[in-house]
Amino acid sequence: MDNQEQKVFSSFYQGNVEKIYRFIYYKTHHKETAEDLTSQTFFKALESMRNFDSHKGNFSSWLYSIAKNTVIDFYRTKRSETDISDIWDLAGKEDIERDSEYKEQLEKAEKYLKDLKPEQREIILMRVWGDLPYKEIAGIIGKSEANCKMIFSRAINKLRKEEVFVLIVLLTLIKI
Amino acid sequence: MSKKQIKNLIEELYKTDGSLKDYGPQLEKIIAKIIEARPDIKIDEQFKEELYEQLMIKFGKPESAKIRGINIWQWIFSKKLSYAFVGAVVIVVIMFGVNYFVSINKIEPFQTPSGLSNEFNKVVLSDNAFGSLAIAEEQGAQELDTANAPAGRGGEGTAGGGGGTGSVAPMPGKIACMGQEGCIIPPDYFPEYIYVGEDVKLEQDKMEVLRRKNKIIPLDILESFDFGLTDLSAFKDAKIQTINFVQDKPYGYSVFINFDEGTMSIDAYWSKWPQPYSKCTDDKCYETMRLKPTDVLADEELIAIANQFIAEHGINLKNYGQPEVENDWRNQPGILETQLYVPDYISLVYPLLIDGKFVYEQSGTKFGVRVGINIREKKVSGIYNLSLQEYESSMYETETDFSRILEIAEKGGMNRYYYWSEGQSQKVEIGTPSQEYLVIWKYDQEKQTNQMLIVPALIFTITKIPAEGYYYQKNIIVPLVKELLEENQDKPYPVPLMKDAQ
Repeated sequence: MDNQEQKVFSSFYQGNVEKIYRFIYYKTHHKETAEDLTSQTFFKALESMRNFDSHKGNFSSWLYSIAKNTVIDFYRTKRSETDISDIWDLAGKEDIERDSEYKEQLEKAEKYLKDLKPEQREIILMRVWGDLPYKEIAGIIGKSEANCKMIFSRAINKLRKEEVFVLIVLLTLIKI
Repeated sequence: MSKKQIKNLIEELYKTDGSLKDYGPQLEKIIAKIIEARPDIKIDEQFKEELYEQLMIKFGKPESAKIRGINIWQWIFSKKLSYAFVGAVVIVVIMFGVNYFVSINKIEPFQTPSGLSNEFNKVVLSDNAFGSLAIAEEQGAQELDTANAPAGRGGEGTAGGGGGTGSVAPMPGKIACMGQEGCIIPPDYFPEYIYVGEDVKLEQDKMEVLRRKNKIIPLDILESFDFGLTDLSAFKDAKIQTINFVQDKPYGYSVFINFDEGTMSIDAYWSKWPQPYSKCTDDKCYETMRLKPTDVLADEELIAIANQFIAEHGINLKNYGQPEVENDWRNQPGILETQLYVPDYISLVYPLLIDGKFVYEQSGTKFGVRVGINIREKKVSGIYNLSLQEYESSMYETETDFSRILEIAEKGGMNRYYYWSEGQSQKVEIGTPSQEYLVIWKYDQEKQTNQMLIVPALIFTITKIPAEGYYYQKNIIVPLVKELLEENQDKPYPVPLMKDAQ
């Protein structure tokens, strides 16, 4: 790398490493695992930089896609289940290391979001926790921006209806 | 996430599903709840720094390059002149992916690090990153003195080491000729270019321009050269800019490497090759020695000689197409076949391919690695324009109006140096163009170096040449980059010529 390339790389790294780390952490709930997978993501990205096609999406989405696939690969080697894309999908998590620091908080979130489809949950986390714009989310999950917005609104509406349902049940129980 | 951001999310929800407007406060509560559950994750700064360091080591921080390839050699080869030289050569071998030196100097082959092989690489920069592409603005009138002559680029000669294509900078107009000794304004006789192709739709208003990166490899081995004349280590921060070495044996070669430009050429070491004309003292002798058309090998044989040399010396031509023999010497109108002047050297070109497209020179010939064949000796006499395929890329505004392109093509495109005698009307027909690339050279005044730029261009094939006179051009080239196009539009027509160049 010459100085110019080094500057470009440095700014690319500084601008993305924390976001990618958080994205992976939300999917693994474990610091060491998130660090390991973040490293893998950046090494993979730099190794396959030539495969990046700017016509097919922006660079950030491409990087998130690598991170997402790295997490999927990680869980596939850990578990025999298919369709596991992150820790939220695991039925029993006893054998998976998780940080105690955020355990309570994350369990609360899991409980709240448990009835959503994985895709709905993923979009909610990217949009609300990660503050990613829909354009980027669309690039990461391979759907249109409009479709992502629709999935998000349906997921929030589902949570709203569940809350109403719980309220009705509570009121009914009080009356009884 | 602030209240404003929550509000934005809710607004987005309303736009997607209007029925949700009835549940505003509820939605706000739900989103707030999700946010509340978000753990406040912070990346470990030490991990962040360590990962950066690891990536830099793996992908080539300058310091790490020294550790991997150069300073280690310096350390290994200690203080001996010959060893230091071998070290430099080894680095060149790594750069070019060429095993040439292995075979001629009997150095043991070694593994080429994958990161340094002659792969096509490009670094994408922002739009218009190379500044103005206009050639004339910086070169201006001074180019007038060298108009129609190569721009002094070494290593791109044709067989026999002569010439080169270089840049023919457009003249700033007929006024530029005023007062210049030797400059003439030609009469208004030039071919009439007639377009016989189909209409072409140009849809891209921005296209990629490539700039070849000049590779500077700092070699800290000067201190290893001790001639007893001076303390070379006193020249701090010195680097080796060029290397030239020769094989001192019959049919030996001379190898020239330019580290600044990342180029290399191989030439016959002339003093070790037969000189057929050396004893000639009169024209009769020269006439007797002249080659006949029947002495020239068939194209397939010339290609076989070149391919064998390339294979034997491990020259990496991964980014180049199939070789083409340049048989322009046969184009000698009005001369009987038996009387043709036959050159001692014939060139082949292995055309450079970028994204499967050819790169052309302004003259209309293909740009690439040139191999010269000595016809008498049936041996390769030189290889020119071997270069590293390291580029920077930037998008530039391109023309979408085909009629504008055609207007310039019908004036002769980038090359307008044909004149016929008064009274002759010559017609040249040009067919539907293909989109390829054009190589241009731009002199960087500040750095005092030549920059090689590869720009998108339309290549119009000449389908019918004039019935009389000498006409060698095969293509008409029109660059697609707007700035260059405008420059060509303003170019005088016809272009003034230097008397010497006629």
